[in-house]
Amino acid sequence: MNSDCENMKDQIADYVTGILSEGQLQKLQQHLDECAKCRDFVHALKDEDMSLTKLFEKIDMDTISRQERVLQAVNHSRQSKQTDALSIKGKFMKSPIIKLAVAAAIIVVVIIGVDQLSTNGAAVVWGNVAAHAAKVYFVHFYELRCDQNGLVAVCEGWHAHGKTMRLNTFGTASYDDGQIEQEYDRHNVRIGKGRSELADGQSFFEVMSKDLLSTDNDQFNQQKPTNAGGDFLVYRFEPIGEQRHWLKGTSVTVGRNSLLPIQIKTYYDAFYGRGYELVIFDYEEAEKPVEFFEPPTISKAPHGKSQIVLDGEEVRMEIKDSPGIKEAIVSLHDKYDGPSDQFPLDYIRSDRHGPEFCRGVSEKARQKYEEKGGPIFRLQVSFVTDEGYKSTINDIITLWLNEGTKCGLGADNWPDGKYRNIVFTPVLRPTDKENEFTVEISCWLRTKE
Amino acid sequence: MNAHLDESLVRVCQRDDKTAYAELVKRHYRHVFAMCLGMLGNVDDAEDIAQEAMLKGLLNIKKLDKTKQFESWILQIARNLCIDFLRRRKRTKVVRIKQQTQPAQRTGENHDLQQAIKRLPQELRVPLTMFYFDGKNAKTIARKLNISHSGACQKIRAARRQLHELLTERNNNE
Repeated sequence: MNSDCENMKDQIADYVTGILSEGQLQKLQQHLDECAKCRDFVHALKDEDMSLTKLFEKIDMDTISRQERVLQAVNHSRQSKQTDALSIKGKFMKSPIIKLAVAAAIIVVVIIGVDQLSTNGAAVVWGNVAAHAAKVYFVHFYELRCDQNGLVAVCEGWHAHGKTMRLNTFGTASYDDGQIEQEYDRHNVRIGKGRSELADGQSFFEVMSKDLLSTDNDQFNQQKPTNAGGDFLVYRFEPIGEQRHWLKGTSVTVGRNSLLPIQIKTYYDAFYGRGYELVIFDYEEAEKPVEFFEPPTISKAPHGKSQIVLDGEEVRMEIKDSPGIKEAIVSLHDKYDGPSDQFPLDYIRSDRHGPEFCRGVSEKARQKYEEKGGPIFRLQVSFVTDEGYKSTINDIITLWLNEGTKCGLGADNWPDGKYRNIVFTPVLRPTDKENEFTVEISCWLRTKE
Repeated sequence: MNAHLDESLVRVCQRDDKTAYAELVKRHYRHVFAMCLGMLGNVDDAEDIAQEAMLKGLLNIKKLDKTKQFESWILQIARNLCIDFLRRRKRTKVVRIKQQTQPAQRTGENHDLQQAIKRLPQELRVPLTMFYFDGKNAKTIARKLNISHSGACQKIRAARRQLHELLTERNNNE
């Protein structure tokens, strides 16, 4: 390999990727005629190009079924009304509380700037702050983000009783009970569920500070404030590990007397832009009762419950305490508990969906089966409304025992032309008989206002 | 991508027509998914966030003033959701990666490639993923990422070279 070769590598990469200009191509060709090592490099990159193409083609095979699922979700969701069109961000920033919070943040930043000119050297190490923060019982906070487009409110939140509640920019609310985090839209319909960041035993501040406010963080415990004038101490941290890819640094402002965090500011610089995320904390607001942190639609008992036999007759189940819904019609089929590599790709069988869609759903179920194991079951559900209208059947529900799955039915195809959307969560529970189960259904009817 | 058609669809959609939004989903879902896949490096997460982005788009379509710019608007929503996801789900992601390591090892060459892609820095992984997933067109990638054509080419080139080094390094270590 001669000295030209290093310069040629970029051109070879472009050539193999198909983005090399004609003029450069000729020059490269001449070089390749003379240089065996560069020809090898071309072959290696071409092989990789082929592998990359194949890999993404494989991922792309499911795009249609993925898109179909999105279209279904769109069909089941509701569009915001004109009255909702007022931006939540706008509402948020019109709130005098938020204005004050933002103003407070700006004042804090200005004060810190002034303070940097006159440090007088208090030497409280970071470990003391972390220990104080770990004892905090109630916190009220705002999360904001500032980038090239300006300052945007992310959420207002409260943390107490080991639980966290957030009002988010798009009008949704998140409830985190320390194990599971759930998000609800403004109509109290659950739109997301995931594992809580607090579930691994981290404290609230550890999570909010990206692990900095941990009492056992040896790397930072002995760190002293970079600035210690006035009423504030400011600690600055460099990112560690994977965070280096996008974090550029974190500064935490702490009250000198309380030793509690007032704000955490995280600077990021990534290809999508640069800016900072800001969380502002206060501890003065009246503490919220435990009910405040409970999700709105948690039902103590399911709306319907019945015994069901695997591959037996369909069961009609009375629905109680769910306005507009009279009964559910349920049947259970297709138990599978075999090896995951023999998972049937037509597990979801239906004449109403295309074979590609069914394969897509089955493949997704197989992947989950590979992680979780079996047995799994297929459930068919339809509902009868108070008016006696029967819904369509949802027959693509894959269920694991004792695990709820959120589903939807309905939309616009009702005899009276009115909009109805039934959101429901079925749970299958085992009994002492192998082929008999208890099925529980929680359900809500949504109508256009 | 025909911005005028997008504009018409957005206007119809702003009058509460979900059919028009379904058309917008069909036109843009693929790009949104590609962006999420590049940012998150995981198909399942990308699918979840891409769907969430599309639903947020529907919820907020009436707030879109520049109706011609639906594409950049929806990609911006997806990008912000990915950032939130990475920020909030850092711990969960670690668990998921651990869970997926075992079955993925069986796929051999693909597994090595996927791991190498995951090790690329995000600013290179996103253009590379979008390039290979979405028609190998650097100009389109440049428009979607709001960077110059030469900038997009430079990123794809750097990604390819870095990927080669990662794959070679792995082979040499074995």
